[in-house]
Amino acid sequence: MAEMARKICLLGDFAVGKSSLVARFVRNTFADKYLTTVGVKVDSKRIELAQLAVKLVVWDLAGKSELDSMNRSYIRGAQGLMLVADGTREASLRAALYLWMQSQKHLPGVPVVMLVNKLDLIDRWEVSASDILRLQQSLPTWRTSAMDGQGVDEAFAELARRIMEVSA
Amino acid sequence: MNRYPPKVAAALQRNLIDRAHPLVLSVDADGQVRELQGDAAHYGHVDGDVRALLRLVDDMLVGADRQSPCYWPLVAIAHGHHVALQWIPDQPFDHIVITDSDVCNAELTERQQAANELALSSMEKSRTIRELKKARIELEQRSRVLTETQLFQRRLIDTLAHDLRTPLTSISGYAALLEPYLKDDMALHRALGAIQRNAVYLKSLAENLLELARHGHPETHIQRHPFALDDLARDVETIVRPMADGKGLALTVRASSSAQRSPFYDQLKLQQILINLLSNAVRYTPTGRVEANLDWDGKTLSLVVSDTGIGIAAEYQKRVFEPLNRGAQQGREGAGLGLSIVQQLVESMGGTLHLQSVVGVGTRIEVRLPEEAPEMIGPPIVRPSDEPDLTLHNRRVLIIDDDVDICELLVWSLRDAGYEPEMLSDPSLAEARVASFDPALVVIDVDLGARSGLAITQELRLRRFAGAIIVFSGASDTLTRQSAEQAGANAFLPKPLDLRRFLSWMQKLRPSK
Repeated sequence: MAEMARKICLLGDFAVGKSSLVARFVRNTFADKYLTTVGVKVDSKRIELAQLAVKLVVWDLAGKSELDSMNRSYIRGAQGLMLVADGTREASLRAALYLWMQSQKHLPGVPVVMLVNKLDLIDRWEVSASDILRLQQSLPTWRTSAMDGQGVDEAFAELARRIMEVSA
Repeated sequence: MNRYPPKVAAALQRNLIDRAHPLVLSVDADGQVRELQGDAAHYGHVDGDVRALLRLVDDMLVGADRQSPCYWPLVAIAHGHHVALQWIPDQPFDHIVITDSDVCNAELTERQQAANELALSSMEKSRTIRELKKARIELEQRSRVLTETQLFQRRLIDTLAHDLRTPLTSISGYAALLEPYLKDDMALHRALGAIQRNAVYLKSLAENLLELARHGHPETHIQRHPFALDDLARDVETIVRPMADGKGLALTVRASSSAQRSPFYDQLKLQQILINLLSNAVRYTPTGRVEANLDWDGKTLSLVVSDTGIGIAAEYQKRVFEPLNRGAQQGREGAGLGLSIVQQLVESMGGTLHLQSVVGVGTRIEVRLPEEAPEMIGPPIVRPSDEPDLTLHNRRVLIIDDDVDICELLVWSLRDAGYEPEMLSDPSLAEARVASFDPALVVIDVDLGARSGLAITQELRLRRFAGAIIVFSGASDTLTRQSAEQAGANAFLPKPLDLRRFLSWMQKLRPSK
């Protein structure tokens, strides 16, 4: 089975759970303690899509509410974008959408998925069901929990599928 | 281009190399390391095994143009290091240049971590404040609903209790009227006794419900006035007697006073306390006696009720004062309100309550109520006397009440007492009937539906009606009494009407002609 490698970048405000999502996806682990990401951390994982093996190279970028020059240098060449918001912070959803808008100048037409994370804290969510429905009209949107793994593999697989559709 | 002096250039090169720990990997087209310069061990790669680094760079070049140089300034690698990575395409080998970023990165990481944690904590604080505000609004809403519910319940209980009083007047009154006609028929005497006992029970229940509805309400206040202790003892004994007689118990109610003046208390509340204590004692005493001793020493009023009943076990002695407590004592159950109302009333009057009880021997409850000095509570309340000294100019009495049962009861009773009573159930005809009938006495209910008995009383006085007017009402509070007096009533009688007392008082009135 042929294997292809694709670069994806995670963008989102600080503390929305980007590193935790990568840890859950790549190593199936979760740590409660918040540790800020400085610069970038690169991981990879092989997944299978139908008859195709894909190596996803995941760039976990430091959380920012806007795209600075350092992050611009990191997203160069990315083939997919994963926007991450924290369901308990409505402002982080706006930040993710702003990052998407900024990144489109540098990565036009690149597949994007939105992850609204911290589903395990649903009782504290500020993002409403109607917000999610509205998002789904313009972006493939997943509700995820890095803590218990809900939606995580599915969201990465969805992004991989969309990347492969574009490159097919 | 600047050229440093050779020695300076050499020193700079040494310093920078010492700080940056450069590691240069030269790799061929197959990704094999052909040359390695620098300190691989500094980055945790012992014995020059840099395969992990090569895999990382290979991953990082996914999506990039390998023929163009790349630079990534801050990349996390294994063992917690942060490095700057450079890809330099070249011939015959490409180069990977790795330099240490930890020195400048440590402080940045610390600052970023602190700033992010501060921002998160601030967001959490704002969220908590929002939630607290929301919780406060919800609590206020619930409190409003609860208050409305309590108000509704209080009104409901109040209405029910008032509505109980009117039929109780009829029941007690007709029972008293029937008594002389029973002659020696013991079965009928027993039946009448049962009616009277249950009427007493219902009366005390109605009074307790009213007290319960008023508890904690700002309108609940103690209405003190001077009264005769003997009268209180006699009234209480009259009310409780049918219950005690029905069980064959010896009932004694004694009053004693060592003071020169009358006690100054809320007589209605004292009566309620005593009726509750005595009813409870009778209920839980199968055989023997029930006694009440009322003693006034000029400073404190002592009410002691004792019985030879079943007693209360030590573990239940506190529970008997809890509202709606049923089953703390064995035997026939009451509503579970009596003793809790007693405690409530005693506390509201600043008194103390002491219970002693031995199972199988009996119970003794002592209530001690300090008298608040009359000057401490303002001028004494002027009110219509329960037993005014009236002189009637004839024997005609007009009874105005929309309750026909009550009217007929009074007509029957007064006729037996030698009066010439007439009844009027339509209050709109009151003034006209008074003018045509010319009664020496008008007995009128306050609550007449469309018209208030107090308004009629006032209207009669405005029309110069010179006869006596007695007002009776289910609302026995002082406010109603005062309103009755202000309207021009000579006397006020609470419902349910104590017919024996009413008739005994009527017999004392001597018509002038």
